[in-house]
Amino acid sequence: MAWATALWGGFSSFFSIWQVCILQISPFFMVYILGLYLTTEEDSRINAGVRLLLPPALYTLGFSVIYALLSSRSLDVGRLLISNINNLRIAAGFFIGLISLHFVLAARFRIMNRRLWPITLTLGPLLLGISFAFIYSPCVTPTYAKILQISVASDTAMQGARLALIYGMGMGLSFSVVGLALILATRAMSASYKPLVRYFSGAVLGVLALMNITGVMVYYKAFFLGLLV
Amino acid sequence: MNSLKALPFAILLLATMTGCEESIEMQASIGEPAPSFTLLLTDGETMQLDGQPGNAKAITFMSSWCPCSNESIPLLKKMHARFKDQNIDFLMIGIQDPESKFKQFVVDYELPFPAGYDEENKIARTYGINSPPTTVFVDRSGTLRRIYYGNIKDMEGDVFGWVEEIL
Repeated sequence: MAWATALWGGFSSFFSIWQVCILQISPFFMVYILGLYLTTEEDSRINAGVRLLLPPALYTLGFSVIYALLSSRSLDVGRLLISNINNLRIAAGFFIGLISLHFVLAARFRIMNRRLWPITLTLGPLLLGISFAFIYSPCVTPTYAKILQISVASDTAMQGARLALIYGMGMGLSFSVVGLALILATRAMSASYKPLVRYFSGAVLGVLALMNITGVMVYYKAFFLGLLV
Repeated sequence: MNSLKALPFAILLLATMTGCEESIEMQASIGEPAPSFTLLLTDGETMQLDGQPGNAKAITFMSSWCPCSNESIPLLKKMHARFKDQNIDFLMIGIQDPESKFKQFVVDYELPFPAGYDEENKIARTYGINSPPTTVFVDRSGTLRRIYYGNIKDMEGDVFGWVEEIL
């Protein structure tokens, strides 16, 4: 399989019927990227381009690396992650909870923003990408199915891992494009609504955190996604 | 500031709502004996796979919310109808799903072969399965011959060939 095929497979899945399955994480990424932008918007020290582009890029990096490892059942590290996936999902829930708290509290305690913005814009999206890769049950699209067939054989495991990495990057790219479009669309929003949107983002991520910590995420998948299938 | 003081208590409360689960080692490798398991079926019986020679096994891991799982059912039924009188057992295992939803899914689709719910996805993790649908083929010697990830809706020729391989 060509790398371009893997990249396109990941990218196009977002804009296809597979979005039904990607709804596991896509709405939560959108509220995150919007909430992050609004949380750091008032700080004039941060370059606007960096604020816009760095978080989606780091999210994509974190997501695609873990996505590739979880797809590599013939590699020791992939087997280790799969073996511990339930606990990793709980840990991911706690991290998402921290981001939720940050969005809610940063509006009240502006010193948090002034001190934490380098972490908020770098480590935050990187770890969120990793967290989303753990909580996501991948949709086995035709392209991803072919990648998994390659990665399950021990002699082609590394090739499968590389293709899964590219596929995950394609997915991250589609998330980033839509997220950036959402940010640009809301730039004209009245300033009075922005704190509300920020609180809303924090609340939605808080719900996602709780669902993963308590194991209720399966009910979200079964009842919400079940309505659409 | 009161909300900040309450934060440690909130985290403690959350920590008590959850609990670390045991790590379950992924054991499945193509060409090796299929990992053993015992599964409680939806009809109250149990099914055991113990790595010993016996009937071949075609095992499908499914979720009620997954469109590909739903679409794969007609071919699974066809496969069962074609091979049920030969030395093969068919089994569906529900993963990443609430138990009640999976049981209803089995009833709604009038499954002609046994199905069971995988508590905490333990069997799935043993087989390294992270997403539905995935179909596993075990031959009569108890060896894991193939794992196919994804929708089998349009793969009748391939799937029937894989079943014949393990008989």
